[in-house]
Amino acid sequence: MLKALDHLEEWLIAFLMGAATVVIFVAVVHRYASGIPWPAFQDWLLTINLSWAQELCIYMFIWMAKFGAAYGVRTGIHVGVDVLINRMPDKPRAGFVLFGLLCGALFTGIVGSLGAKFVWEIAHTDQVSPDLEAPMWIVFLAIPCGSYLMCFRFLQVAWSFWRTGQLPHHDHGRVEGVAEVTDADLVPTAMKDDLHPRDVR
Amino acid sequence: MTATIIFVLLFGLMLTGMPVSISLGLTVLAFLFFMTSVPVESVALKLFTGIERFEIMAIPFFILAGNFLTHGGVARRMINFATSVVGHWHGGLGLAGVMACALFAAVSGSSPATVVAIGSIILPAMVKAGFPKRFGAGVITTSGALGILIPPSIVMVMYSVATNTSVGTLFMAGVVPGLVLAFMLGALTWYRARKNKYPRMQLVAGRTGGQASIATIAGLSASLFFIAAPIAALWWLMGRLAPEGTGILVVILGIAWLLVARLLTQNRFVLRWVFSVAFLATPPVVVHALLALFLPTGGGTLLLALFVIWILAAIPLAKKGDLVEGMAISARHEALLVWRSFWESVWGLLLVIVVLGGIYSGVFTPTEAAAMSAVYAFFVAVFVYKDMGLKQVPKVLLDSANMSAMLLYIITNAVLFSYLLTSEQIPQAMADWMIGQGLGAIGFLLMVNLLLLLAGNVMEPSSIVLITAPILFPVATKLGIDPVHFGILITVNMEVGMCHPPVGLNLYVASGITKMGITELTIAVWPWLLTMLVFLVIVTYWPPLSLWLPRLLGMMT
Repeated sequence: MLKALDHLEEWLIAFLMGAATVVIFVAVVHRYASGIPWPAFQDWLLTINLSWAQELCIYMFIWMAKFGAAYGVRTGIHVGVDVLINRMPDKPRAGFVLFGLLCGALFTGIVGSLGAKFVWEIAHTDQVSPDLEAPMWIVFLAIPCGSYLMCFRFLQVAWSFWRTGQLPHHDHGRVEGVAEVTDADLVPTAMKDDLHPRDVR
Repeated sequence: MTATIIFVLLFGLMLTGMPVSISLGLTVLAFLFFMTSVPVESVALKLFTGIERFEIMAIPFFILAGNFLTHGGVARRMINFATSVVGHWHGGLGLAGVMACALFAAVSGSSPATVVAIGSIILPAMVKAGFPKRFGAGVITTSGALGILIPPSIVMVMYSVATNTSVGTLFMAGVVPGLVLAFMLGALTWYRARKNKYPRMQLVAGRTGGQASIATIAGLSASLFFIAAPIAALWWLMGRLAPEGTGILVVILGIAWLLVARLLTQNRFVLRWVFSVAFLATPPVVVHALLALFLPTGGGTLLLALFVIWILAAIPLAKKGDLVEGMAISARHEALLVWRSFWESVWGLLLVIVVLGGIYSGVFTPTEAAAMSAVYAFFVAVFVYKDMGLKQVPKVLLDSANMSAMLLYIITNAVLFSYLLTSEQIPQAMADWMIGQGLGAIGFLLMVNLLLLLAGNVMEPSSIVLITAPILFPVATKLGIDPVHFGILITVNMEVGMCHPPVGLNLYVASGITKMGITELTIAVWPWLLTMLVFLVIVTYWPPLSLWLPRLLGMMT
């Protein structure tokens, strides 16, 4: 069940990233291709209206941002100011880390609830987006869904930190597919970069 | 009073180590809930509408493009090209590292990404060639910072989001400072390598440095000539024959030419002709272009005169032989090497033109240029260089989405935060207060630099820009500081912040690659870091350095 959710989340944000890129690419190519005086072909191109591409791209990226932020909690990519707490002894630091994670859960929980209320209200109007003419409540659904998922991820990470003292680590220095570098040169090390809290032993 | 409460709350939350985005959001929520009667409901809407701007979407696209380039072998080819051009000077590979970083910076918008892309390949090679580990780490850590100064740049997009400055103008303004910084870092690398007698690339026995340089310049100009001359001629011809729809046709024919040209580059006769014509044509054209840049002269007569002068001068030079090494191809090893590596890396180098040329000419908006470069980079990585399989694409997409989502989440909450600041009229109050202190432009800029360098000790660049820019910007405008100049200054500041501890992403990335401790790396970096500080002072107090190019291009007054 949780595994399925993990995969769904990963596939969703990777798909949104790729799809948004393709949408903008097609829109730009279409804009210039329809300017060439090809016989017949030009008329056909001019009948296609892609003015909604920009809006679609924005909505896709906002969805990606909300769900990606939840995924980011799981991979530990969110940066913080950890200079101070990383120099503390383990016990108080564990307290601060837990406090931070729970604050994250609190914030996303509140925002999710506010968003849900907002979506509920807007679902009773017939507001649509300017270009796509998609119902706005579906578009805004990203806020409650993404935030609640993020809240869940914060609680999940907090729970596993409470039990094992380990946090997810994001590694900036990892490159895959660079031929010249052997694995020995680039073993992902847990970097103590003071932008992420350290584990507690 | 309200300002104090807000900032104490923000910094208090931040210091507990929670994500910056969460502390920004919680500050706003708490303040709105306890201190005002503004309905908290507006927050949820703001979280959506805050990033509902097309300009912001350049960030994910640039990250995606950068990831494709890193994984797709573009960086490796750029390094080979840079090595063939500057490798024969003192500190060869080190200089090549600086140049490769500058080249990669012109296609990537992030500093740590540049350090990873270039450093993971060139640092092991430098150690193998006999450079001390510290030297290589110092060069690459600092040169990688060029990533955010040479456009495209994610930090500049952040600044433009926070202050409503034009992204295109900022990008153009970053070009000259970026080149100057690359030159300064390169000069220091050269000097230190010469002093310590570090290895240089010796390609042909008995060749002096000067001769090798002339050969590489010949190879470089021949490559540029072969790629540009037919396209320029085509442009001119099409403009005469069919002025309508010229642009797009020239682009299509230009791409066709590139495909054909690559096949021709192996041919001996083509080579001989290209080198001869480039030898005759390049110097007058370059001198003419330089003259036209600084003097209001120009026109065909001058060009013709330059041609005649050069040909008259070139014949005795070519006859004398020992300087130009004759016209025989076999004698010009370095030139051939530059030629080959140029054509190997040409697809990566062309991306610079797609992005900058596209934005400047108005063909693309910055966001569209970013999307185009992502598609282009994908195509080059998977189908042209084939260093990356289609199987790896989902992983690259996921990694890029992860990084972009983190940045977009900070932006969302920072927009929320600056909305709170604006509604409480804090930036105006602070601006009035600072000006009331009798702080002039010079004093203010000094203060900004110190503040940002200090902030660079604890935070990463995106958060710093998004939090400080909305506050400092109104003061800067009131003091008559140009918004674009101010943006470049902040970017250079961020660069410095990335190269020193305790929080310097470049350092940590370099430490991951070299397996050196942070303390040792800090010592290794300091000569270059000092150079960057000198450069920071120049950028701060000499605005024309950043403003000259955008003004020349007519992008600002």
